[in-house]
Amino acid sequence: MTKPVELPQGTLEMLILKAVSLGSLHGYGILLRIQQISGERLEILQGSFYTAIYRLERRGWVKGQWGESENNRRARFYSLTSAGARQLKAETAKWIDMAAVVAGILDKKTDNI
Amino acid sequence: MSRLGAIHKLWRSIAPRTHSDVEEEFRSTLDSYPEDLIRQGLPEEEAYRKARIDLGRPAFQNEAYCKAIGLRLFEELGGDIRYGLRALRRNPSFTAVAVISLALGIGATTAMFSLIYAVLLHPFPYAGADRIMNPVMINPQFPNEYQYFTRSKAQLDDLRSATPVDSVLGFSGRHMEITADGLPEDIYVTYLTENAESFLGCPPSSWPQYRAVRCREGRPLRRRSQLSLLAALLRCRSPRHWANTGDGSHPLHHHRGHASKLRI
Repeated sequence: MTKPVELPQGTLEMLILKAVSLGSLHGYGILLRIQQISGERLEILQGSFYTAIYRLERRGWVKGQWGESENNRRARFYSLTSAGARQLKAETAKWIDMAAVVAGILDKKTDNI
Repeated sequence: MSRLGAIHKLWRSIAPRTHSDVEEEFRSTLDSYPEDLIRQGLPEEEAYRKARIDLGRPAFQNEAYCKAIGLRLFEELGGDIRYGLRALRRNPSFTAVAVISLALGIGATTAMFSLIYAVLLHPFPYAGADRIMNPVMINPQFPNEYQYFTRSKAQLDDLRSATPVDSVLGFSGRHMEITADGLPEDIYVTYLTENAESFLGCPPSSWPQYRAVRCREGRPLRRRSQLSLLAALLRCRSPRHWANTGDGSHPLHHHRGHASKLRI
């Protein structure tokens, strides 16, 4: 059984941007791709996922278009816009920087300070 | 484009997706998710049950959409209004009582406010109304009894030249009779000095209880439009005055005497 983990605000949006940057996907496909990339270590709640994708579309970072899924069902496919690509780049740099700082602090031993 | 079309277009720019769009997208996930669960080995019934629990109902997705794009308040408000209208349609007798109660309540409140505004709050339309003074004589033995007094033209000119006085308006009132097409009518007329319009800082049409009449020397006053009164004033040499009729309830008009505008 998976244990729910609170991600920092904006993380899910960043992951969605990353997933759609690899190719156009429908909503459920994005979920599966994130889980696949994380090696099934991350399970995203459906409710928070759709709220995040609506917000991204509203901000113009992803663009939705109706199409047909692999099961021949009508589905909305999302692709990254140029604004979204810029946002992803900025968020990625910020995240890597912050993770490095936090990891650096946590790695410190008493004799290293 | 019709006004309704423009409103619809504006709304679409704020909320690009319709409710059915949101639900349709969600349904595609609702169909795919249990299929995945079945492929992972979950029994069909259990898979659909889990999907319903995890995903919720498609109708709730609209709330999530409105919340995500910052329109939840409008969505809730719209829902409340629709619910209210349905309830009113179902209970016509309750609707009638509610509408009558509201109409009476609004009417009574409006009437009360109109009365309070007219009696207590309504400001005079004159420019610098707070600087208009009506001088009176007071006998120290009877300080509550004001004595209004008349002045000659020379006295008025003296008052006008006093430093604190900006300008002076003279007025006097009397009962007169006007004739129109019907029976003669007794009115209370206030004669004003020529500078009335500049003194009051607004046109006669905005004076309280003003009713325009045209003056004919030696003949009863005859009711005319305000425009013809102004025209007559411009042409008329003597007497040059405007007639102001009313029941005398306005402070500027119901005291006989002279008013002076003091600069403080």
